[in-house]
Amino acid sequence: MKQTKLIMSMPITLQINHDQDLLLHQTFQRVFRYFQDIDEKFSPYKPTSQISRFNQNPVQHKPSKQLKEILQTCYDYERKTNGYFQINYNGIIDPSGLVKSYAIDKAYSIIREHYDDFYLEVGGDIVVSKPVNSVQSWTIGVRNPFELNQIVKTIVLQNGAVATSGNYVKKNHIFNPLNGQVVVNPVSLTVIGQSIIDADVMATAAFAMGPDGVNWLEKLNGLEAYMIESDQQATMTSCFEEYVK
Amino acid sequence: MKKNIVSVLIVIIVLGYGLLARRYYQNNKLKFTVPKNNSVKNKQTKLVISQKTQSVFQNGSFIGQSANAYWGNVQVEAIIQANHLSGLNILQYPNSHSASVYINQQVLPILKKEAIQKQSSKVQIISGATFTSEAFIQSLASALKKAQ
Repeated sequence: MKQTKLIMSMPITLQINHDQDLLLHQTFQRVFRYFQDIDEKFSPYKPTSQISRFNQNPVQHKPSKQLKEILQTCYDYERKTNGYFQINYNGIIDPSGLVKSYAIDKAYSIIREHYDDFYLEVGGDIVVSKPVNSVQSWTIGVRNPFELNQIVKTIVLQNGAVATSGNYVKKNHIFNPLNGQVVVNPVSLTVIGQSIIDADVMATAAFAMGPDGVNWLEKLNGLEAYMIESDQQATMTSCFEEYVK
Repeated sequence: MKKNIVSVLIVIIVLGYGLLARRYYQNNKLKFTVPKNNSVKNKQTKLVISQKTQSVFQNGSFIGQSANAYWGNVQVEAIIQANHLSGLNILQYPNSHSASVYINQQVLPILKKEAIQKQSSKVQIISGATFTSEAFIQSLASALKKAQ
């Protein structure tokens, strides 16, 4: 069964390979409701969200346990990425860069309670699962940043996460927090990892580093990357091809 | 995972030094430094040598024992001119094990590059920069138009 819904101003697609029954339908409902709930709580565009109220008055609106967990994770990644991942913009705290992958990670756990053959895709970021000893894999295309209806690479993955950062879709503006400039090169950076939070945040940070980002990712354990530059040349980390069809 | 290239170079240099030292150290105190940009794969490794005491080396070239350096054997040849250690040739260095070849040949990782190419294969999922609802709806609308 496969469903797509528009939540958090993004299309969210869940496919679970299983016979349709009550539990399956309930799981789809739980997952989509979870994203709606996260959107209500943490959208910076909703004045009633926890994050908006926290920014209005952090003393009066003490962060909830969940917001504390998100903010703590953000600060951990700020350290790990030498400041290339940041949630503090001109005194406003905006953890949107983490909230999406945080929600995917939690949704993954919800689905894994009952199923092991599924994928979840949220605005281009993906988690996949296949049963242990399965001979099948999920095939994931890397979108061509110059021709959005094309793909330029096919990743084959049984269990894990894939995230892509890019400025090529209208309204995306990833900038380098250390100099405040919008990143013009690379144009697309795809990261494969075990955890979607790791893959997504590290992709964002490495993207902000510019073309050197892929060299930084090469030094990190458990992450492989495919970077596309404005001259249509791609650079990949040394084990990336193990995941390519 | 990256091996520490610098430490491997140091192991090789120290081993070469040790082999020499075992042979010549008894009466002489040798001190030599290796220029930092030296690469082991240049077999004529040049040394800058300073000696604190008078040397009594015999002129000629002397081949040291082949010694195991974990990733493979290392063997050096000392060249003595005018009773001074004037050079050190590395006759053998690890080149059979893929890891050591990688370490010796690529001091900095050189990542594979390619020109991107459209792929025709069908995929189940697509990863890309965050596609907003707006873009999704536009795309869906154009697809539906085509389907009419």
